[in-house]
Formats: sequence, structure tokens, C-alpha cells
Amino acid sequence: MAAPNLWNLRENQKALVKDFCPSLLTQHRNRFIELGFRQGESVKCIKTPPFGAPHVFEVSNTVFSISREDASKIFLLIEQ
Amino acid sequence: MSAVDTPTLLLLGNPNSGKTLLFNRLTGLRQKVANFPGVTVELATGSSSELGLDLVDFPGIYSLNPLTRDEEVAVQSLQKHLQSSKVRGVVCVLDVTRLERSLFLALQLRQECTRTNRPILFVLNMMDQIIAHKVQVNTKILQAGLGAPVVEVSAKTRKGFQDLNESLTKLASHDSQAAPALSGDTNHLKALAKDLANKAGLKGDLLLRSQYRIDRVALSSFWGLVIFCFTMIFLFQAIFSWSAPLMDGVESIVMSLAELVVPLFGKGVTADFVRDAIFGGFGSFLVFAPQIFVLTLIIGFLEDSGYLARAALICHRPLSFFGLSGKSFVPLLTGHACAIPAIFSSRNIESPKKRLLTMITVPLMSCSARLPVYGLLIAALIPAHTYLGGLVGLQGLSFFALYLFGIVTALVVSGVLKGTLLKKTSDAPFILELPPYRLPNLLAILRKSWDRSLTFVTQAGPTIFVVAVVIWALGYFPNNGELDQSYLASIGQWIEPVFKPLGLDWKFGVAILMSFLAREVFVGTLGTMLGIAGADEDFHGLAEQLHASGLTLASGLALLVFYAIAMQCVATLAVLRKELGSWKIPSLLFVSYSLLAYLAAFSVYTIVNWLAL
Repeated sequence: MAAPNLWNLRENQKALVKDFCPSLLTQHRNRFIELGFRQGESVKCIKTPPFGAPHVFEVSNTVFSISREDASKIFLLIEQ
Repeated sequence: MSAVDTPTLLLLGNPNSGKTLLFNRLTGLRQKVANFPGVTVELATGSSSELGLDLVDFPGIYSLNPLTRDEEVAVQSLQKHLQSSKVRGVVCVLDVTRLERSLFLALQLRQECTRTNRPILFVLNMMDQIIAHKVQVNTKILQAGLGAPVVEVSAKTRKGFQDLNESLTKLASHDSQAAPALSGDTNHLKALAKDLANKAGLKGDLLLRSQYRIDRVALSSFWGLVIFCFTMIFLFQAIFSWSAPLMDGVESIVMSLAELVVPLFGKGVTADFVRDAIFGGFGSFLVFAPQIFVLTLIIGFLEDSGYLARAALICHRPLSFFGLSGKSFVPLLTGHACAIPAIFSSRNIESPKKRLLTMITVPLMSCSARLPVYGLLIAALIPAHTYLGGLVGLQGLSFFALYLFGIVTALVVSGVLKGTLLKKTSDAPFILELPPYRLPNLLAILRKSWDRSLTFVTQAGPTIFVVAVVIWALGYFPNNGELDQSYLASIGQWIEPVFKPLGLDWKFGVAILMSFLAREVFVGTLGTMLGIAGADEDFHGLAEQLHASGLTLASGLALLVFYAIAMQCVATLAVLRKELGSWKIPSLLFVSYSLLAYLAAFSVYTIVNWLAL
């Protein structure tokens, strides 16, 4: 089974950042890390707006919206 | 001390850290402040006479590893500035409510300052919000962790400015030392930032809860769309209805001035020049400044309130279908006022492909310069019928249709280019920070709108003035006012075969040709061609004259379609060249849009004539 990714998170669900998709460019991966999406960091899904719009996540006390294409490249460890 | 020796400090920080407001407070300079990531797209310099130093405001950045064009500009310029002996130090602004994010850049800047032997000062901004929530931040821990002084301020309430001024003076003197060396890569610095934020900063999401409550509604499936649609309707209503009295006011002032000034020159060539070239030609352009003012006022309100970022989020999915991004929304929206600031604001789009597509499609948005052309032709061709008790007018609907036509054309062009010419161009992730909702400062927005309108007038004004003078001279000489025997008439008759297939005679040809320099010139030129002195002030008179001149519905609609597509703006082409680094794409765009406009106009002319038969 494929690892759960950021896009799979439901509203109000929390998870830990596990890894990045190998196809993600280093430059883009570094940007995610700089914004707080580091390995082991807790991330929470705040809102999943309709019609495939980017989902809203909270990480490091900051709120970002990330598109499906990009969110699915961040793999998670779902907290039980 | 000469101006050359004035010590300079560099002001840097994350987007939405309140950096630009702080800059305005310190320098008193009118500068763009907005609550949308990446609004400061160019460096701004200001002086503080009180402190005797210069400040350079950089675009908001997340990191010194640039991803967007904005960040690229900032990082390149930072490195260049740090070579200058005038630069005494760096001021790093931190958003105390989102400390961890701010601290990462702070640590990177500390590394850079140590490397170049420059002292750094950290400014903890937005302390008012911390105080309002009765929570605290430990400045001593921050100071120890950052290895440099930390000052608490609120740019909004001006709290802490006395301490800030003292610290800035010290930083600008030769007394300050660079912070101790700090090594580490991105991961290490991020871990340090988190550790420091946990020790000194806020715990939990206290300040985000109110933001979430609003977002639950603003981003919901039903109310989110209702709010978005209502906002857009409100915006367009404001452009047309609210700006009308202001435009009428400017028009009256221009007319009154003309009545006062022209008689002073008696009769002859000078009086004709003042009346027709200055008041007639240049005056018509001034009438549109209030419209820009109203539009920037509304956009400024949306930016500063934090809603514009949500609107970009809502638009992302539909826009990405056409190869654009949610971040294209702001440039496309701004393009309805003027393409120049819109092209600049596209710098904040990370993806080079989406940024290019945005810049290419912005000129298709119906900018303010197209309004006089639309207004004139609609007034001449479309009856002023109203429906629903005067609530909906046929002329208003025609305006709406033209705006929609511009947007649809832009999306089609972008969609076609996305799948063909730009298929292999590299892409970048869509990550948009959602800033907290804030009550905008009305005075700041009014000032910003005024500045933008003034910039529009001062940047476009000289070109318009030159065009107005050239047209007037070509239409006036060699037979002192005999238009039929003027140079302009000769040019018009020469190019008449080009416009004949659209059912337009040489007079329209001349007006179209001249408006390639600036669209709004069309009205003034046509006024001159149809022999109406001061046609720009007497808009309805010109519309009636146009109607009487035998302009058919088919030709009129063809003209409207032509103006909706054609790229008739020298200033926009120049800005595109500046942004893209060569004339290649701007030249291609100019030729392609002109051809597309002509073909679309010809199609409309043919179809309408066919339907009439």
C-alpha cells in the first residue's frame, strides 16, 4: 500500500512528516523544509476546500495552502 | 555629512512580517504595504531625517535560497548591497506571532552578516497582538540564541519605537560588532529555529484560532463561493458606479480650466494647440485616474484584510486547468486596472512557466485604458435600455460581456500555450501562505491608492502627452486646421485598405494606428478626425457624432473586439521587456495579438453582417 501523503489528511487530522517523494526536486524539497515540513514535524489539516482546491495545513504555527500535486509528494506517518 | 556618506541599513524579513509598514513608519515614505505574500516587488529606499540614515526595504522572503523571482531579486541585491561601505548593518524583522518561520530566515541572515562582517539587529514586530492575547515572549533567550540585539516593537501602534530608534542609531554607527559565527545547513538551521521558538516563543495555535473560524466559512463549498462571487461583483460595481462621480468631477475641472486658459491665447495656432492638444488630448487621459484610484482602493482593502490570498486559493484549481496558478489571480485582477503593476506582481509566482503565462495573458484583461474606447463605442452603438426597474442596463451588460471576453480569451490563449509552446518549461510547487485576517488601515490604503494613481499618471502621462501633440500636429499642418488636407489624412488614406474589410474608413484607421502608442488616444484622435473640438470632454457629443457618421453595428462590434485583444500599449511592452530580459517575447506578443485581434474583428464583422442578412 502506498504511504499516506499530505493530501490524504482529513480536516483536523494530524500527522508527522516522514519523507518526500524522490521525484521532488532538491530545490523544492528544501523550500518545504524551510517552511517547516521537516522530517518528524507535526502537521495538521485545517481545511479541505471543495472542487479540488489546494488544502490548508498548519505547520510550525503558520498556515499554508498546498495544491494536490505538491501535497501528494510529502509522505506522512499518521498518528493513531 | 554628504548624502553619499549617509549610513544605510537594509531591512529584511518574511512576507507579512509587517516589514514595509515598519519602513513607512521610520521613513515616512509612501510605499506599498499589503497583507498578501510578495507584494513588495521592488526595493524601496527611504531616509529617516530623525536618525540621519537611509533604509532599503527588501521584498519579503522566506529564505536566502531563492525560489521565486521576488526572492531572487532580494538575494542578489542583498549580496550586492553588503559589498558597499555605506551599508552599516542589517535589520531583520520577525513576526512574533509566527516565530519559528521568522527565525529560520533570521539565522540565515545572521550567517550572511557574519560572513560579510556586518552587525545585525532583530526586530520583534506585532507585539501588540501578543499583548492583546496576554501572552509573553522571552526576548533574553532570543537575544542569546541569535547572538545579536533584539528589540520588541509594534509597527501598527508605534510601541517600542524609542528603543528601536536607539538600536538603529547604534547599528548605523561603527560601534556594533558582527554576530559570532554560526555554521549549519538548512536542516540544522531549521532545527535551531524550532528549538529557539519553543524556548522563547508562543505555545500552541492561540493566534490562529480566530483565523480558522473565519476560514471555515470563507473556504467552505457554499459560502466560500458566495463570498467570492459577491466580492467580484462588488469590485466591478465599484469600478463603474463609484468612480463615475469622481471621473465627472475631473472632467469638469479639465473643462473649466480649458475655458479659463484657452481665451488667454487669443486665436491662432497657439490657442488651437492648448485647446485641442493639451486639454483635449491630455485631459481625456486624466479623466481615467479616478477609476484606477477606486480599483486599487478595493484591491488594497482585499489585500490588507487577508482575503486576497483566500481568493487565490479558491481560483487555483480552475486557473491551473489553463496552465495558470492561484497566484495568477492577483496579477489578472490588477490587470483590470493597469497591466504594468499586474506584470510586476506576477514576480511572486514560483513556477517560471506559470509566471510567463500570467505575464502573457495579463495584457488581455480589460485595463482602464480600454474603458474610454468601450465607453464611446457602447454609447454610440448600444441603446441605453434598462431592465428590472433600472437595476440592469443593456450598456452595462455590454461592458460586462467585454470584460468576460477578455478573461475567456486570456484563458484560451494560456491553455493553448500550456499544451504547445511551453509544454516542456519547468514548474514549481504551489505553496501559498494564508496570512491572518486583519482589519485594514483605511488611511494607509487611501494613501496607497493615491500613490498608485499618481504613478499611473506620471508614468503614462509623458507618452500620452507626446502622442497627443504629434496627432494634433499631424492633423493641424500643413494647412492650419484643415483636417481633410492634413498629414494625418494622407496617412489614413494610405492605410485605409487594411481597415476596409472591417467596414471602417480612413478616419478610424488613423485612430487605431495612433492608439498603438496608448489605447486611450483613440477617443481624442477620433474626436479630432470627426471635427469635434474638445471631444474628450464632450463624450456624448462624440458618441452621437459617431452614430451619425454611419458607423454600422457590425463595424462597431468588430472595433470593440479588436480593442479587447490588441496589445496597444508601449509601456506594457517596455515592462515585459524589462521582466523577460529581451524583446523577443514582447515583439512576438505584439504581432500575435495584433493579428489575432484583426482576425477576430473580421470574423465578428462578417458574422454580424451575415446575421443581419
